[in-house]
Amino acid sequence: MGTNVEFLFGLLLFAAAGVAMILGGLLLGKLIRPKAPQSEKGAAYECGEPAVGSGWVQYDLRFYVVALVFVIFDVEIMLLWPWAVVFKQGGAAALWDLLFFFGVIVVGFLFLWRFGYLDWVRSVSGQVPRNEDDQN
Amino acid sequence: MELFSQHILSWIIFTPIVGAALCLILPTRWSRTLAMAASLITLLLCISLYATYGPAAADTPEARQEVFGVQYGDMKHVERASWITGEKFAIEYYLGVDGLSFPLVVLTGVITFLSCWASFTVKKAIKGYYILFLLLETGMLGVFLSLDFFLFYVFWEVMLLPMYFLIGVWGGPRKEYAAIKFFIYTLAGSVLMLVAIVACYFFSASALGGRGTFDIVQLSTNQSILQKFSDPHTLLLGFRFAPFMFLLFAIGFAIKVPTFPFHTWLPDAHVEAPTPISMILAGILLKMGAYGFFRIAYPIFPTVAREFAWFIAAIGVISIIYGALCAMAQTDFKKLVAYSSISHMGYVILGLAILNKTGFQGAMFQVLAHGISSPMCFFLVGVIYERAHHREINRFGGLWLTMPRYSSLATVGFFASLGLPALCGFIGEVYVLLGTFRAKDTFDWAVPMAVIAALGAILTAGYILWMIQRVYLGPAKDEYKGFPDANRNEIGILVPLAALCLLMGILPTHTVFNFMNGTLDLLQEKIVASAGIVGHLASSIGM
Amino acid sequence: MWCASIGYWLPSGNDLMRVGPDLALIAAIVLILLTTMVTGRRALATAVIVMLGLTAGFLLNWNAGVWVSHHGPDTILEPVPASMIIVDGFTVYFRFLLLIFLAGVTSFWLLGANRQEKDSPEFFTLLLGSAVGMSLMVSTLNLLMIVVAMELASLPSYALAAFDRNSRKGAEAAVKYVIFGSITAATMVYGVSLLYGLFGTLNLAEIAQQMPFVLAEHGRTPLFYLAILAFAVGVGFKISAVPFHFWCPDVFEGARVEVTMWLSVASKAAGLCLLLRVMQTLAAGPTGAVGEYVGPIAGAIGLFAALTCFVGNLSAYRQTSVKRLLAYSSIAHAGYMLMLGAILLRPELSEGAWTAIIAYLLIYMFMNLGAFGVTALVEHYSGSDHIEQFNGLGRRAPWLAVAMAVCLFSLVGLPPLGGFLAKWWLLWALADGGGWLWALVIWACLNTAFSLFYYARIIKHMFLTEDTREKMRVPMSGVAIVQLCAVVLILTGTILAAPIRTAATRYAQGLLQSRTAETLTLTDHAPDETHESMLHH
Repeated sequence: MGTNVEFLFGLLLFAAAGVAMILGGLLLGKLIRPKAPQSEKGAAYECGEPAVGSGWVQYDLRFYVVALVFVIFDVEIMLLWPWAVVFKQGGAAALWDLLFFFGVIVVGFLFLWRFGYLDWVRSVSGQVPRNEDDQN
Repeated sequence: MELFSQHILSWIIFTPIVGAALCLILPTRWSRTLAMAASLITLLLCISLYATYGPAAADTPEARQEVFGVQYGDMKHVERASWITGEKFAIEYYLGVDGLSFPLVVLTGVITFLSCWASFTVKKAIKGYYILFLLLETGMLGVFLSLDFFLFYVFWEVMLLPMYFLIGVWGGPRKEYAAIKFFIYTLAGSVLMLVAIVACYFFSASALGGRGTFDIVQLSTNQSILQKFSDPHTLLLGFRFAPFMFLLFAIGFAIKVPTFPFHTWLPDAHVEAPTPISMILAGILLKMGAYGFFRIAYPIFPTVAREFAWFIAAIGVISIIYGALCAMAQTDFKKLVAYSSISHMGYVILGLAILNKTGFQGAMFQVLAHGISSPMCFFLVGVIYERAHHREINRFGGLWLTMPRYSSLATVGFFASLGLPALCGFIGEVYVLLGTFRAKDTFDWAVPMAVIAALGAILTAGYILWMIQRVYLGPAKDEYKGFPDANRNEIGILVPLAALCLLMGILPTHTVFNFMNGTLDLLQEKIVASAGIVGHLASSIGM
Repeated sequence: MWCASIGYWLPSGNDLMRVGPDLALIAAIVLILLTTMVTGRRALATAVIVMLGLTAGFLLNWNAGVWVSHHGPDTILEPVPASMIIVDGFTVYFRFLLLIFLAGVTSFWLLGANRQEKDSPEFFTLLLGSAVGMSLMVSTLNLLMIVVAMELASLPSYALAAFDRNSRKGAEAAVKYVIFGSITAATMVYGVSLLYGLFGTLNLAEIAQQMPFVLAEHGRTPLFYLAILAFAVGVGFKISAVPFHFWCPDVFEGARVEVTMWLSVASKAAGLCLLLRVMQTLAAGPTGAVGEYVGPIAGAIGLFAALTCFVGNLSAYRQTSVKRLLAYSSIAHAGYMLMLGAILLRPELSEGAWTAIIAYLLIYMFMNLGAFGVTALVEHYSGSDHIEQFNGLGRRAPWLAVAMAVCLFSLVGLPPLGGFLAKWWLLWALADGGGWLWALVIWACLNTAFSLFYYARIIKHMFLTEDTREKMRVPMSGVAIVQLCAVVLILTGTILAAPIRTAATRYAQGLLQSRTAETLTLTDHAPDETHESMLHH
């Protein structure tokens, strides 16, 4: 069990070193940096455009939809990369493999398109009618 | 005919189910007739077992041996078929009857039929009522007749569900509380029993080498199993096996009996249940607890029965005295009868605890006597409740003058419960007390226990006579003047019960003892022998 | 199929048939999306496609089952030691359960379709997606695949929980669910990476083989336990084992009843089966050498199982939302089933344990389908699942009430219903282990008695509480489904008890034999590079 204890000790040391690195940096900074509090320091961006209003506003949901679609295709590209590397050996079968995979995603994409989730300006008629908010 | 005679016990158990199925299919207006018919056929089938046990009436050693066999566990009408079988286990459909279960089966038939008859007061949702009623009967008969642990447990629980609904739907004002209390108490007891059943199986497996057994008879007669179970080195979770298992079983059965610390469900259930269900509850369900002690706890764990005899006897005596005192304090008529049940069942436990033949016979007789007298008392209360719509003892008075027929039958019932000589309650109590005195050489505590228990008889006389005085005697009160006397239905139910009370009181040997003593004696000898206490107990054998 | 000519492994058509049920579900998803684009949102059209997909899945699964029973387990996507997907008897069995349950959920969704027609395509896309994930969870021993499958099962579940877009409770529940889910999933991935670091392989069967050597030589037992613990966090979340059950109440109450039904039964069953499979595999390492390392894991599982069923029962006690109550009851049942995990680590007991789990899952599914089905019908009718809505159901809808009573009593575990038999085999398997497992037996029994309290409360409201409302109009098909469940429960408790036990035993034996065969192949195949180097260090 000696090795276990040693191992545990090593782990502990490692963790302690990790914590020390971060805390030490912060502490050091706190000690040696000059203090010049200004109102601008509290702003969201110290340089560039002055911020207007609070940061806690609700972003338009359309950003999220677009972001999600982007992530999906981004991941898909990632999967395409290894496929492309071995494509030559795989031949036709590899092509079918990928077309199946890509096809499923495209169907999903078409679905979004068809129901107007990709339109930046959506017509009200395209939306699903909703019931009144009944939960309060 | 072959099919019938070979499977008479299955017919007894499943006739009510057939009746229930017919009730479900046929229109509501036939439900009552069907239920009456089904319970009557079941009763006749139960009585037909007399063909087997009739010869025992001759009361000669040969006749006894012929009927009861040469050792405990010789069953009649055995039906065995494998139900669920695997490499490691065999659950059987295993039925059989002996001198222990035969009287109880007949009692079940009689009381169920009479309470089905008494159900004419039930007006609400009668289809559901009779279906559940018949399911209940199946459950009760199954418990008394099954000899496989698994099957026993299934029937034990089958009886639980209908009872819950019968109390909960057709009961009095606090029915919901009473029903769930009954349900939880019984289920708590039975899951403990389940643990014990599984444990018995696995430990019997190690005793037999290989497969264990659910066979109740084998568990209680096989020497290597008994030795393994009673061996102080057999441990489960660090506890000695036999006392631990005995405790689990005993709690399950004690809840059903009910004995002192586990009795609180009973007054509630009885008071809220409709009259016919109270009759079944008092007449049969309580007997299952006693039957469980006789059939399972005592034969399988004889050493524990011996070791903790003082404790069991003490519980019995406390139940007698405590039940009687509580009964005395009641002003609700039905509650009084309910507490008197606790007191009377205390004698059963005491009779069991002392482990001699007189005690066993007395305990079993008490079981049957109480099975007749307490349904009668509950029905008597029901009759008056139907008319007065209250059960306050202090508001009654002078009923004898307005309802002479009813009141004279009532006296028979309550005096039987009191234990008046020449009525059934007397025999059981006397046997138990005699047996307890006789056990003085075996147990130091026997005499004090007997003395205290005898005191209970005086208390019983006290509360019953006081109640009779307040309810039936005295000048007739105006508010009860117009009450009709017992009608034909009521007389029809009360007269057979009263007759049985008298018969069992006057001719106990010919009506009861002849048909069960053979098995009881074999059982007692077996327990004494396997408990390894041949000395004193053997000398106090017999009556 | 290994194509030596191209040095590239490709699944043959035959192999694809083994994962046919999953493919059928994926095809159904694609078809739903395509159809909806053409015809617009229609509940019935969607449901027809779903049912077609389920039927196809059922037939393909049947086919796979026949194949497996002839050829033994199939390992797909790569040859044996590092196989990504395993299709064996248990996979096939679990898929059958999943497909039947899906059919049930679909039916109840349709019965309430008048108010949710527009959402059907999305609902079924998500539902089938998570079903594919669950199916994969149970058909793999590859750690990476486990992670992917669990995520595939979880992500649609988050969306399903928030499916009622107008319900604030639903939204809140979904956020909690996502956060809880992500954290536990991250922890699990951490555990997986530790395991990989320790053993140099992602295949659990190989890990089991190497475990005693690696751990003994390098003294890395604490790290191993840390990895297992982190892994268990993810699985524990899925089966909502204490202390990872906090997401449960809100999600189950906030979601629609069909979703609750799905999450509390299928999702939990999948997590459980995954865990049991993992335990079984870990225990199947070199004979005699593994016990030392997995023993503490068995104890921990037993402890958490005991806690889980107790907390489930305790929390169910005061609920007034029937959905929530049933959901808690499913936590309790997960606890009972989890107890079997403790004995799977002992090879001599594993046959009993698998038999018990196979029987339990089957009966458990019918009990919950029935109970949630009645709740769904009541909610569709009255718009709420509050327990008061069940008042007088015995009179207002007698057939519904009787079916509910049967299911509830079966959930308690009363004979002569299937639930009793299920619990009986479970206790049996535990008791067979003897020793400290007796404590679990007693604990499970006491919990059973305790659980009666809350099940009986619904019974009380249905039969004992008077109610003057008019009779309930319920669709006949809904009544038929719940009645079917009740009949199945009565039959499995009585005349079908023996056949079910026999079938389950045979299934379990087949499973274990094939498992042994697999282990053998593995030892034949071994040792690859990493293994070798570990051994000779």
